[in-house]
Amino acid sequence: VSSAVLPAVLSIVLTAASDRVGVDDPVQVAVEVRNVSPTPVLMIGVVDGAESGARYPRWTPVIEGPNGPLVPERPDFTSPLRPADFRRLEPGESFDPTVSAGGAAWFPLASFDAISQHPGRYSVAVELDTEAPDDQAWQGTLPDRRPSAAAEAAVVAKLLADVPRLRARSNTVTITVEP
Amino acid sequence: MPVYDPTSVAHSLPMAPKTAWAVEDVARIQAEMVQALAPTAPVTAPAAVPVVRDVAQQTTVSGRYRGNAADFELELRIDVDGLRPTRRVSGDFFQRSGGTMAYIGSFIVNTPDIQVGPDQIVIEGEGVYSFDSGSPRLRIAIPRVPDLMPRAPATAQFLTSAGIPGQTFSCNYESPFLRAIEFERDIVEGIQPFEAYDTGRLLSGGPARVLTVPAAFGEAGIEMIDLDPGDPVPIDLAGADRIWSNRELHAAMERHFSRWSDEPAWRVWLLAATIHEEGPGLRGIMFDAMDQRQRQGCAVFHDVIGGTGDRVTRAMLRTYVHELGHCFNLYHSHQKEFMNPPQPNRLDALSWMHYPANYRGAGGSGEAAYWRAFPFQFDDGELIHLRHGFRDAVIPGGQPFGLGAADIDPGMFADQIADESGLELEIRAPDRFMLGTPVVIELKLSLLDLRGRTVNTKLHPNFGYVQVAIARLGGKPKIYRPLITHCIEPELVMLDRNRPSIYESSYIGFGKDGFYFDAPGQYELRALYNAPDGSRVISNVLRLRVKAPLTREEDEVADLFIGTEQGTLLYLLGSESESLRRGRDAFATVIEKYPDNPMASYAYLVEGMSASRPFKRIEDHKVVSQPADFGRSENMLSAVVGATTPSGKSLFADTEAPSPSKPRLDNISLNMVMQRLAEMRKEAGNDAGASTMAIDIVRHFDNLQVPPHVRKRIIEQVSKLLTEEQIDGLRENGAAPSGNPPSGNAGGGKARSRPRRK
Repeated sequence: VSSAVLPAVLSIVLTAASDRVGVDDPVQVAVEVRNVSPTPVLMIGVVDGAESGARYPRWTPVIEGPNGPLVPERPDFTSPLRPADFRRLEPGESFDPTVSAGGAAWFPLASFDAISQHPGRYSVAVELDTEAPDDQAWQGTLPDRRPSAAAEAAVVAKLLADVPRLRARSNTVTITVEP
Repeated sequence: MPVYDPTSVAHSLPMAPKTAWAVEDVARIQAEMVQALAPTAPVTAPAAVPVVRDVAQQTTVSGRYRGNAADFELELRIDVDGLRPTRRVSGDFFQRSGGTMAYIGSFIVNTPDIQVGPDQIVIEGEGVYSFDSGSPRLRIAIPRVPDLMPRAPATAQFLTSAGIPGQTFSCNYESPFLRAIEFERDIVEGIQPFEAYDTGRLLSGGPARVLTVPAAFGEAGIEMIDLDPGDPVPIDLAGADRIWSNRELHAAMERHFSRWSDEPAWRVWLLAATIHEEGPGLRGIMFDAMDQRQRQGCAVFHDVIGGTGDRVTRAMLRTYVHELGHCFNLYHSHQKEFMNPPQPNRLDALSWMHYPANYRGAGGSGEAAYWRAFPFQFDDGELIHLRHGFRDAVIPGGQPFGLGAADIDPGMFADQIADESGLELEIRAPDRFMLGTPVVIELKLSLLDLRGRTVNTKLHPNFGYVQVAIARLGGKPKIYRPLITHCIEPELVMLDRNRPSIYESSYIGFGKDGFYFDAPGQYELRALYNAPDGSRVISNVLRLRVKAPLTREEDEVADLFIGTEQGTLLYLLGSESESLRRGRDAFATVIEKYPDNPMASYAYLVEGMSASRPFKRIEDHKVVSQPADFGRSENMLSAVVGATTPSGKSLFADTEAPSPSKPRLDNISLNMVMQRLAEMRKEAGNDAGASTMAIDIVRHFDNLQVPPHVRKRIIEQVSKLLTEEQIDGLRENGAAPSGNPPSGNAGGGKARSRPRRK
């Protein structure tokens, strides 16, 4: 069943702090992910490797500008998922997947910040993809040496089963980088 | 890594342009810090300001020394002056045997006292060892010599904690570098590799200098000895697609790394390659992270990192050093928690091992902020690891990626700074044990937040969700490692007002490391529960004493209990395996010779539990089943219950305190034994005896006034042995409709005298 025919589960809204920034200035774009379904939803924020597509969930920036698409740096080792990386959203509740909370290891979308390296007009959006082919595609590649690794992996496997499989795309914001 | 000691100062002294630290200044700062941090002194920050001296006129003492004593060789690393001194000394021991030499262990002294005199420098402190050292203190004396003269040998004297001299090594100066490694950089044909970068070309957080890869490691105290690169590596090794996989990179290493051998060795390989199959975002990879001997090679991908311009060259340098850092067993700055022992993640680290985009510093976050502040160096914790980590935790081909030496970080069990888990973990046990007595702890996980919490009922350390640290006073802490790790999914239940706590009883006296309480003395225990939401709930510290035997009988019984087979039998709660016969014989001797000794209860317990179940063995390629011996088991387990509840009175009553000479089963174990007795009667067709025993169990715990939710749980456990009427009777009035004081025998009444083993 294509996710396109399913009722919406999440909405993703980008909000730029300013539509004009100077070269090398920080680019502040807030990401609001809201549960628009009538039931609770479990989701994972931007863990390392999620931006570059190295692992699921994929939080892929979609940036169009004068220099073509930006390629985010792909980490050589991605962190194992931990229970704290999951966020449970009640109906109507929202969170910013780029801001760590409650022990989660989420990171800002570095590609947004990178656009200010070159002047020009950029359109910015983000796509979320949780349609991983298997559980392995969620897991990090870094060896987890903690004594609790096996225990946490079992908990993560249970939690992963409750993450809805979907694709969603945010609105598009336009930012101009001034020389 | 074990050298990252949260109890000691982990900072190196900073590097300043054209300035190195003289040992006088380091000693002064060390003394000021000790004084400032002393409880009786006013706490003021020491003035960590480098005194600019002409380094060429100074006699530095830091560096690598080497010496021998008897058949042993010591590589000694002194790090108390020069560039970024970490104020530590460390070393590796080797043993010569004929024409061979084997590594046998390492040590580090984290915060030594440094005394600088006119004629010599004395460095002294107690070390942390990768083995049990009898002489953990180290005093190093280094004569001062005039400038430009050869360095004098360092005398390393090991001493007991009480100051009694141990072995002495006279160590000759070998190198200003603390470690040396052979470095071979091979190049895929057509690649223009990185050579050098001038850190003054762009704004940065450190002094301007020209850095090559060996120079970057040289600043960390690691000498990279360049090996001649071989012929260019043909791109054909990447396959027809000309894109590298980890497997192809490993094969290329085996073929082209001229000094490669699959063993721990101070040599490392880097391949300047084209592109990895992971795609154009991957700048480099330490690909050797899967087999037995890991961390021997890495690769960087010039289709991604190559090009010209200062930013490109700067990033290229970082990628080269970063990937080689993995070969020295360094994790990313934001992933330190996944190492063993774990360290805190360091998102604010200005390190080669950080991802610029992940940097979060006081002066800003992200890539631009990182590069503005980055001084082109490893952070302090990494520097200590590189210079002083136990050899196998650092050397390529040594410990697997992410694993430190066989040591644990007591910090893992430190109090949490913030605890919003809503849970409390309690660990309890009698405060005294006679030597040889099986140490059984009780774990209790309780709800603090009455809104409720989902918890995992699998609290036994065998399941891996709970770890128990055990430290003998003055000794190194160990994590209890169960003999058999049970891979089992968590069983999640909701703790709430109706069920505010769960319990588990665990025998932790014997595991993979053998006996954990095999010597008299004071022990401290602490447990850690890994909650489903990622919280780590730390228990109280349990202190218990293992008492030395005072009589000949106690001594002999202790000997009969301390043995690998006996430990295994206690762990398994009995077994008829032939390989454990010596253990069973030892327990039989206890029962025969000392039937009234309190510790005989445990021999009865093991024998009784073993006899209660069938045992299968393979003989002549056929499975032969040995049936359960209910009669023998009944006798043995009844004796256990009888001994625990003499004259029908519970030892658990508050009126009778436990004593080391009268060990007792904990409530949970006693419940287990009584339930097994009841089940066995049911299995043997004695339904009346089973229900009588079941009711005895509830009555026994009624006498102990256990909480209602525990009582409810016990009734649930025995309900399969009771009629509906009996269950209702227990539920309604809390009184048993029939039954007897707990006794363990089928008919109730007095406990039986102890049976003798046939």
